[in-house]
Amino acid sequence: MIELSDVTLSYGEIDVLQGIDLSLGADCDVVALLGRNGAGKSTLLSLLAGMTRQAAGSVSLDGTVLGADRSRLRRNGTWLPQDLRLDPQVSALAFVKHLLGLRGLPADDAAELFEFFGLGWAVRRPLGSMSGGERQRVALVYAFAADSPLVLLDEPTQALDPWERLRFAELLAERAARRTVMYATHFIADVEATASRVVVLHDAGIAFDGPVHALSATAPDVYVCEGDEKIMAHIADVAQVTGLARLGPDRYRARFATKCPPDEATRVEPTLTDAYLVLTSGLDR
Amino acid sequence: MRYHLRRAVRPRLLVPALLVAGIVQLGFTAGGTEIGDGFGPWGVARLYAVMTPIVLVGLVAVLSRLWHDDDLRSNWLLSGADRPAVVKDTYRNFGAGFLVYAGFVVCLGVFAAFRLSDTPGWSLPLLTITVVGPLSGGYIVLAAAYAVARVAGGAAARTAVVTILVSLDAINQLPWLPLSASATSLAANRALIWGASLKNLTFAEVAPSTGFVVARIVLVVGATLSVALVALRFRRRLYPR
Repeated sequence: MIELSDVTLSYGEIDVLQGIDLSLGADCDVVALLGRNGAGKSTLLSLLAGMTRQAAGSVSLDGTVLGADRSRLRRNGTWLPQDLRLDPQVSALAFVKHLLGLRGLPADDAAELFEFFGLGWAVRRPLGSMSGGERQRVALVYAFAADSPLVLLDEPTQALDPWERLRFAELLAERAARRTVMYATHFIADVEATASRVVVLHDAGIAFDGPVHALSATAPDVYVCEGDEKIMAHIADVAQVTGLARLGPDRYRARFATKCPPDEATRVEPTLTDAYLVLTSGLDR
Repeated sequence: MRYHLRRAVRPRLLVPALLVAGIVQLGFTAGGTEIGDGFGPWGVARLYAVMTPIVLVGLVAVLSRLWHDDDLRSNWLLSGADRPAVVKDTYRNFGAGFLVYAGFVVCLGVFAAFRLSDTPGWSLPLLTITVVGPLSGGYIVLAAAYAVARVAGGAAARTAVVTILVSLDAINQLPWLPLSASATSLAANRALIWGASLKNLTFAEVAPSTGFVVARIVLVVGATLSVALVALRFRRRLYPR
């Protein structure tokens, strides 16, 4: 189990993470990490993976406070960064075997995982001949073949189509029974289907940490309203807009959260996206 | 090692190309070059002295993809590689490049063997000249270039080291002969590192001087250690402390 206590991490004079308290790995679960661009999601994942160190606070692994050496953290977890660099000349299987070999791990599960990700046909193909989504799946094969207690994935579904994202959700459901998976994502709709816990980073701190349904419950009253540009401008002033569609010339439909709805607005059931947007908007309307 | 050898696709393609080029250039112009009709120890010496610098300079340019720091670094980060894994992988990465070079040298040796098939007692001396000459010399030059490039951080440094060393060797101006890539240059022959000049020796008389062989072994060990040292240096900078 990893515990972060009052962790601060800065790049130059900018505090990317500040006063972070987080516990991970007590239960085998899937944790979604949400936050706006630049909120510190990648930094938090690389800290948990042992790839970087905090400026202040402490990091513990299984009850032991870690010093400068983070090799135990690196052995404990498997980390896939957002910007994967894969050699285009080697085959998918050779690449996965090589990474596992560097960790001193066997590649017994690799063939089964290639099949699971629908890549059984591609194991001998050079990575350079694969699409971005296929390469992403190859990286996921490695992440799960390593069979570590913690898997840290930085936007693993960004290059995947909806079918592949569904397959990813299936894999998480199956594999998370034996480990903790934390993944950063901007696909909030997927979070409800895949994660049991959600951590939201905002303003360098943790704005929310808890079950997914608890985040949904934080959503304020949400309304929809149709109108022209003038009405939309008024709504934007008094509410947090969470969705906007153009219906025709000078005709729009807005979805928004507010404590003071206009008369013509209709109340609707809030979604996780509404809750997340309001939480990270920093506005109290 | 297989992973890194797979990554050396283009350099590997050059090995059969060299073999074909060698056969065309030397096989069909026998007597027309300074190697001459009597392809004895002197022929082998000239073959290696001329071809080794060309092979090394040509090869180091196409090895830059295989020996690219960012690719290695990316895989080490992805796997969270520890110290022994980084050192081992560095050796495998360097070794894959060296094996391609060794493939070139073997091609040259095979060609020489064809030319020598009528000469009695050629096989062991040819092997000795090949191992003490271009095989160990190329290893030293490539390992030095690999290590310097890791410290200086670029393929340009690697190319510069190889180019400087083999150019000085080719023009017989190396300050210290054990650094010679081929060990069969005119300067090496003048220094009698093969017992006498290979021009005046039969294969039965070929015997490298002990001092040269010892110096060569020391350099091979030093080059090997330097690769390990730069791997450790690289690994220290891999994960922020």
